[in-house]
Amino acid sequence: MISFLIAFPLLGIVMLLFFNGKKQLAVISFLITLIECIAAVWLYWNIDFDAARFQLIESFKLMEIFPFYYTVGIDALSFWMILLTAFLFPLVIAGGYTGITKNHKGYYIALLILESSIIGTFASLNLFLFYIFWELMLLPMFFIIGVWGGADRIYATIKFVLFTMFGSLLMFIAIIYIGIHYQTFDYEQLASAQFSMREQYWLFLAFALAFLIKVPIVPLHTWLPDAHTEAPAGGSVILAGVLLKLGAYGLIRVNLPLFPVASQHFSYAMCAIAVVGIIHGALTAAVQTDMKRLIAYSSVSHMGYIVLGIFTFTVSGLQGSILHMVNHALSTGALFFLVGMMYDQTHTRQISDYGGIAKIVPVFALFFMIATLSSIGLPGLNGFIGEFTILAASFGVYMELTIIAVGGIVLGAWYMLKLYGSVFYGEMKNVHFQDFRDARGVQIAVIIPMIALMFYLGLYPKAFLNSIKNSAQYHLEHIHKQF
Amino acid sequence: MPIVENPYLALIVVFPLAGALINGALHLIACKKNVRLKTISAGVAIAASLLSFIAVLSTCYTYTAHHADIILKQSLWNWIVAEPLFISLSLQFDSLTAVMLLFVTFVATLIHIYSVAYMADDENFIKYFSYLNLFLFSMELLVLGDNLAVLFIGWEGVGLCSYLLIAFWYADEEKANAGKKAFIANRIGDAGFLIGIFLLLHAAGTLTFSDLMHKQEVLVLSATAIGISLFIGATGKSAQIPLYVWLPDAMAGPTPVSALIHAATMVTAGVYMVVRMNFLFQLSPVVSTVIAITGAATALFAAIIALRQNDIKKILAYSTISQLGYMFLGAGVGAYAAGIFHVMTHAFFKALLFLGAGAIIHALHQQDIRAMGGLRKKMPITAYTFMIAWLAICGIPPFSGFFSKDEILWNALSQENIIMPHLPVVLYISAMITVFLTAVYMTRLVAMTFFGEGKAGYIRHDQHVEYTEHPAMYIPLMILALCSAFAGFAGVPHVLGGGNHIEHFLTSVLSMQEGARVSPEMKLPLMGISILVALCGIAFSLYIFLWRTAPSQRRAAGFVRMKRIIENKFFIDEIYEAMVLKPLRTFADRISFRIIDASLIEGFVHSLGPFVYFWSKRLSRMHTGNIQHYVLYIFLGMSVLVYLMLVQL
Repeated sequence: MISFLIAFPLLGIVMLLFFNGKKQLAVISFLITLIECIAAVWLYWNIDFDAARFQLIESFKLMEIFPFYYTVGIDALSFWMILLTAFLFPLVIAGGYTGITKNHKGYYIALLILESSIIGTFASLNLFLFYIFWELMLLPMFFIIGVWGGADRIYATIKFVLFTMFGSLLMFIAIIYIGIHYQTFDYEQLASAQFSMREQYWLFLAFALAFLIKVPIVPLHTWLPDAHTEAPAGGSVILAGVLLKLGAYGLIRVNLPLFPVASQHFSYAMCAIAVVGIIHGALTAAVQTDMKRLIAYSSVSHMGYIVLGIFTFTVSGLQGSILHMVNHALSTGALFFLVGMMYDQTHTRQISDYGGIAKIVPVFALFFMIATLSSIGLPGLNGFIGEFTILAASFGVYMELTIIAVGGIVLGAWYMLKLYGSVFYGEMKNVHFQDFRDARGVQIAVIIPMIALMFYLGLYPKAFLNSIKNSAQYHLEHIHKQF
Repeated sequence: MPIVENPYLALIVVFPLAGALINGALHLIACKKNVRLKTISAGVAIAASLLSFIAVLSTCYTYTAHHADIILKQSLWNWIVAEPLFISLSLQFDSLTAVMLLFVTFVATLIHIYSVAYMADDENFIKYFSYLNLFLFSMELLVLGDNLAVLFIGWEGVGLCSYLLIAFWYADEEKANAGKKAFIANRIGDAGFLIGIFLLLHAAGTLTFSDLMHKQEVLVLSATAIGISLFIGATGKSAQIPLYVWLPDAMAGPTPVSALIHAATMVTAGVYMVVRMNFLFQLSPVVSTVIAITGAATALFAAIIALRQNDIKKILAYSTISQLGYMFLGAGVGAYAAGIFHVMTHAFFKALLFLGAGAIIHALHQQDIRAMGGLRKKMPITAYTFMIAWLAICGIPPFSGFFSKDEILWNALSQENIIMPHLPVVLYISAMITVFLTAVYMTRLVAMTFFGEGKAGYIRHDQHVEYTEHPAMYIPLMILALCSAFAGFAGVPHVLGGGNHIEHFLTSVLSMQEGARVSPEMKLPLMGISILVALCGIAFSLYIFLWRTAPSQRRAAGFVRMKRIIENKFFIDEIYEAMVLKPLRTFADRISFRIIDASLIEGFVHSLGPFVYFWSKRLSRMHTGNIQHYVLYIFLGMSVLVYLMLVQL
């Protein structure tokens, strides 16, 4: 089942080869990702959320001399991440359709490879396999930014790849080290292995560096604003919605259970840089003049909350972090979609070029407002639940850090309302915007599911929080044993 | 207190929510199809508000039918469940809720009706009613919530509606910015509020009021920290020092909004919250003292600023801040019932004042009181209802403001303060000065608007103005005038032969302190003094602004300077701009963005490229093509390997 999910987008590429029309390609790849999404939803009834174990495991050996197995399986955490990925891809294809002007076939092929590799990363239960999928993701993303991106795309994409490669290089060394010394890459076996203190420290740092660059956390974040800004709308949504989550996912999946002693040792430092990230990201976002760059910095701030929640080592904090991973994908994803849809018509992302457009595009204004409110954590919408749960948990652990982090909530309102006010309120400055068309058909259909989920998770987060409770407990088990 | 399940509580909030959603849909339809749906929209909105009011009335009936002290409760669903966090989305209804909801839904319904006439020509009429319904929903949720988290949903919800409605005419940049300012000032308070919530969760593990009430012993230690944090939240929402600065700017919104949100209901949420959590605030004399001092100081400070304002709405805004100060003074000295009593009477007379001002603005398209004058004859209903509210706010018996305000003053003097023994006298004197100043600025407003001729040199629009008074506008005025006149009888103190019903009604929620410092016999003479002070203020003001024909030109330099400072509102906005906002912006721009991000991190990253390039160029020189060199490299490499192997062995 899981292998089907990983392989299906790749098989879909074969389909794409037979078509050439712009519309045909989009429709075909939309259908492929839609089927993928339905298949991911179908998993919901096939996994047991009460069990903390991995399920639907498929495993066979790939190499004789080397302990390299193809092992995939999921638990609640990876299920939700896979579902999130599968949910976003059809929207990305539908919502980013108008922004792509050349080489359509290549774009959709890249997207499908990307989807396959992301799901593969989330499902891998073998570190070596994990690494292969992890690196495989870079390839399509490199082209998506570098070919279909904005004016500065080459710089942005090289920066993105170099940053990520630098991190994964150390991770690779760490994985090889583990393979040599423990004769296995199997995740579940390693989770019960006892690494020495010294090993834990170094391995923790090697993995954490790769993941923290991906998250990204200050000061390793400067690739993100460039990549986000230059990527096409769909690329930005995937980047913010899923790729950043892989960093947080890695921290939860690898660092916490495999290196519990080191995790505890570095927990305060991690929380501290998370809080620095929250504040620094928010402050920097507030002075941006480019819409996408502002939202990119807001991502840095939001991801800080997620890392903070993870390193509180409380079940509720971890639950909050996982929820906030989904929240951030929804709110930031929706914001990137909306900015992309507006950019397709106006060809500018400069905030100062806009102003007073709420009057002519009321539906955009409404959608943008809801996404903004979700992002700044208004109770009743999803963002609040994540922030509240994380901060409530971290308050009991690191009170002083939490009080600073709460300041991020004020700053969040500041930069987001500044963005909203400058774009939608005030006087209409730009006369060219007179024939700016409001959101229609497909565009509304892309945003509505995201907004519906924002409300659902904001009003009834209980179901989601419950479903990840056991998984959260599982990942903290080793740490609590240390106490 | 016994808890009785009541499955109909949610009806109270369902009506306005449905109204907001229907109107939101109508707005989008109207935008696309360009049809006129105003009648339906107004009908839906008013019906939603009215039905909500009826639901409150019937719930009150159910509540009072049980003779014992009870709490009506309805659990909707479990909201946030992440052990140890457990927050249920539940509503509760007790006497405090009853008082709050009664006047909130009542005033809201009147203002909905009034808005139909006031907003009749606005192109976003439907959107306006959608927001207004949404506000009512949030406000009711705030009051009905059975725990701080649900209260916080309403708290943020009213803040959002306030933002949307202040910035309602967003094409004007200044108005849009006023909305943003309100939201962000409130957010600063909310950060404090959240910290208070976290402290409470940490100490008691629950946010439910009825559970917290029985956990006082675990709260004792952290009561001060929790109280201060929550009070910071209250200073944001209820416009107290130091976060009051958003409220005067909030007057950019439509006037009925100012009446409903920024005078009668939302801004009293902070007082409500303090009274709701009174069991906690009583545990900490420090916090109570801070609240009392903040309240008294805000009351005095805002009253001083109100003296020299010329915009009719700005005067009323500062007056609201000042009156909210009284309420906090009451809450700070333990007179919670008196505080809520004043919340209620203030809702009536201040809504009336704002709606009256709205009627004038609607007719004159003018907010400067110097350009008014003599309106008494042209808009008689507005004028006379306005004057009832004027007497009520000045504290002239038997109008409502007198009873509630005097109850607060009496408590301020009579409650003992264990931290600062002399504080009650100081608070009392400061409040008395405020009474005088209130009478002065309100009389100035009334005199310059309804009497006299208007100041020379200000353009009069008489020729273009039709002084019509629309029934949808004056009927709410008349009803509110009745309430402003007679609502005070809900709390006539015992010395005047009354029963102080409101205090009795609220006792189940409050734990009263006994006034011990001043004997009750003093109550009557003190009452006389406060009436006298108010009358002096009125007479003084009438003399200066109405009767004095030739103002004296002799002014001391100090007096002129003082006048300028007051006219500029003590330059508080400018001070905040220079001390907080500008440094923050500069820090964000220069330090965070330019130095840390762009120079340090990016500089380092960009220097790596040349660094690698530099060394690879150097190293590439090793490839000389000369075989001797390569033999040397092989030899060196082998030596290192051999050395390493030897060391290992």
